[in-house]
Amino acid sequence: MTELPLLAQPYPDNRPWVDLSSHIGPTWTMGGAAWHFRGLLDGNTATLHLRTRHGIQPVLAEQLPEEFWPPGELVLQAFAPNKEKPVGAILSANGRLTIYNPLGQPLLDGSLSNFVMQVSYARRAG
Amino acid sequence: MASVLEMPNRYPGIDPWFDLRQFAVNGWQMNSPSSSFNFFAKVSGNDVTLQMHTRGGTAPQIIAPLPDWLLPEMGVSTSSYRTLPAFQRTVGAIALELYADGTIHAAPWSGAISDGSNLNIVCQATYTRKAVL
Repeated sequence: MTELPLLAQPYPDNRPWVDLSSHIGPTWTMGGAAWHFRGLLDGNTATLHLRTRHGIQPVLAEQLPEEFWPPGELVLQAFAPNKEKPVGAILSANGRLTIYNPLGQPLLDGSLSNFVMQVSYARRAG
Repeated sequence: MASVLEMPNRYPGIDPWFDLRQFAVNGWQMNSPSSSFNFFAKVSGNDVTLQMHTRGGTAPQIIAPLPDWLLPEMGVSTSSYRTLPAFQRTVGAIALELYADGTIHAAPWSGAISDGSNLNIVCQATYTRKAVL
């Protein structure tokens, strides 16, 4: 299994959350407690929790660790509180996380911040 | 449960995910769990977790009655359905209705759906399972 840094938590040996912030794309750099990218592996299910700073590229994470890969491409619901129109993300079968922009709004002009996503999904069988 | 296919899982015996796309109707059919159009669910104790990404449908009903072990608990509510949050390409935030019999429908306010152009409904939801089967 990929070595992933554990977050501080009450029970670090029992289904621990890991810090995925090192996998975030270069323009979405995290820093500080309010901006985070965390993951949990629990048997057949993976959970992601993401809140970004500003970004100007469609790729949020080039490649997540294999342990977080889904069985196929997933479209994931997200939200950005300063955007009236919906936003989402696409998680490819090889762990590439990109912005899903259903209505073609200008998201990559630097104005997109606070992109928040909480999702649980099936893990690839391996 | 025998009629529902278990997806390939890392740990098949522990809270496995199931392939439910056989229950899609009215043109909402998905391709497979490993495609970008999928419908699968996990049962974990009292909870069911759904994940869906549809193709284009021609009627409000998306899903035929689900098996008993996936039905929602309605409690003392007089409502005959649970409302699930969802979103959709070209539309935005919408809602789905999960009925007591396990059918899933696009909510009436979720836009026109009869011309087949209504697609890419994405729903991720967890709900309480029916207590007595």
